[in-house]
Amino acid sequence: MLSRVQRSLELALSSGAEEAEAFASKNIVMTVRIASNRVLEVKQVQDEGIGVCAVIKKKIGFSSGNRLNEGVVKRAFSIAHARPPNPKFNGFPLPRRARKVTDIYDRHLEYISRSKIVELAEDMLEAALDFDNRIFEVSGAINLIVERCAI
Amino acid sequence: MADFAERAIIDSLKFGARYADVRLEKLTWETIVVKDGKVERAKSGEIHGLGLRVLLKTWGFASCTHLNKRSLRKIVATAASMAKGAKKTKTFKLSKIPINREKITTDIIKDPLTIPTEEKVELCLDSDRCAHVDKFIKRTTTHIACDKTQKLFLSSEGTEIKFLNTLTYCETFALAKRGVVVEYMDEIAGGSGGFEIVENFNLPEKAKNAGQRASKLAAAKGIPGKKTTVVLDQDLVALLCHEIIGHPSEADRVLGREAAWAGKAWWAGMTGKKIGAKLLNATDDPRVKGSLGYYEFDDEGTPARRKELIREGILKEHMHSRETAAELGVSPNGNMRAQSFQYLPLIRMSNTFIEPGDFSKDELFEIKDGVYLKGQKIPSIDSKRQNFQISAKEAFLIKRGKLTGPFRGASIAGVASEFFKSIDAVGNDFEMRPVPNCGKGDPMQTIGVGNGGPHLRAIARVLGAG
Repeated sequence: MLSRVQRSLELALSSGAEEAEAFASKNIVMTVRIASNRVLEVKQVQDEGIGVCAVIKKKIGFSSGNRLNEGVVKRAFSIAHARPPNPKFNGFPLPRRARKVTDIYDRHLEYISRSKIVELAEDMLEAALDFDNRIFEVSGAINLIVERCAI
Repeated sequence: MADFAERAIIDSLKFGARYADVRLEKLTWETIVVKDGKVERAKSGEIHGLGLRVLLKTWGFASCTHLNKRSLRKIVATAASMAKGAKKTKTFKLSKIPINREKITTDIIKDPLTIPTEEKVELCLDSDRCAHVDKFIKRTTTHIACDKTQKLFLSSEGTEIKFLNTLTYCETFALAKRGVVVEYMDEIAGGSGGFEIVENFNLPEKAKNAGQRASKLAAAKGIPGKKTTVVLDQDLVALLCHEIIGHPSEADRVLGREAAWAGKAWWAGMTGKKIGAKLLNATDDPRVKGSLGYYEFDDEGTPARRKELIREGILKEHMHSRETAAELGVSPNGNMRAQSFQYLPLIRMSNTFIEPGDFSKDELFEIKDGVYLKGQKIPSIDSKRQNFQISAKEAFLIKRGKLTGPFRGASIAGVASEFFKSIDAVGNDFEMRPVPNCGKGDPMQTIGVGNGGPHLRAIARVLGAG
């Protein structure tokens, strides 16, 4: 993903941007929905995209797409040309190494299988129904979001 | 790329799917937002990809944005494994629909994406300046958005629908502050169509109008609260219709499947029963050309049709998917929609509105005493959509046909069933309003719908402002 971001940046700079920033993200959202005491649907949404921000004479243009091509950069340029300059723009943050943040989530979740998530949802449903005999209808969901991004 | 869509269907059937459908889409868009005289946001984008829905024991769904053989194999395997993965589920049927092969393109005069971005930015900046009518205007926003969707729908039953739709939308907003009183006004236009929607709307004029009305309203007195006869304008009726007719008409809510998310419907099980006055007629119709909720086939390939939700006060029909239609033993009526190929379709309203009646606007004011409420603000509705409170932008007192005002800070509150029964006059001045951001689903999906109606008269509690 970093190499795609790097290529976008180079494309923007070689096309005439004075400064540029590129951002890529890849998300997978898995959802198991429970309604009326059953698993209603199991779904996975995959989203992948790249955004390019190009600066020309303090005019900032942004465009995005889900594949890197000249079109993304061209559209960012077209937006930049259409905007008035922003005199308060002092440039993007200087490059620096990102700090590594650890232990903020359970890494097992990143590699959990689809069948395991469905199993967890079914366990959740069963636990709710078994709680006591006053429980007669259960709805709920498990959502797992795995997101990667590069700037 | 169509061969990828066909391949996804064929491979899903090899995995044992009893039904599969695929949506291959390309979405191109541009948004300009000017706030307080500065370009707050100007961006464009393009995404394309494929969403595959597979039915084995239950629904499985997967989407991808990379259209190559490897991704295709992966999403077919993912969707199929998800569809057969659940033990605690039950199989269900899909209602039959005719097999269609159609190509639909919406009519546009000016492609909004070929209008230079500079022109849109300039129009937004100019309109934003117009909204600043006096020193009391503290915040302004002007917004133009347009998108173009090319969609191919294929199903394992043989339906093939191509849909090219262009949506254009614009909005202007002005907020005024006088002392501690803050009031705002907005004006919006949008629908299926080209840049002519923006041009015909006259954004600078509308922005000026919003500024003048917001400033005047901020100087107005608060309205006294009481239970009384109310006359609602088309804009407020549109929101009321959206919240207390459109949403509870979604069959997944009626069946309780949205209990943990969107909510339920108070009129579940009451089809065929009287729920309102004889003058109340409500409809959902996706085939209103030029509207934000326009389509000819839904995202299951079901032909869209006009639905009589409420006819002469009798609850007649809900909005269905093929699955809910089969469960309730009715015919599917084409209300399954997804925000994009990345999402599983849900039951959504299209253009939901209250039908016009015979009364002129002036006739509605021929009452001894009451309140005229104009413009929609914020709704607050219970999960069954029965108890509601909706704030209006401005209000006027009605005394024997004469209006005084404006007053600020008015809301109406009521119980839907009582409110519907109290309707005693429906105007003949129908208007539809675009709603670009109706949300539902998990993950949340935002879609455009149309809502509207004429002026109408009923009884409700008016909550006032001090």
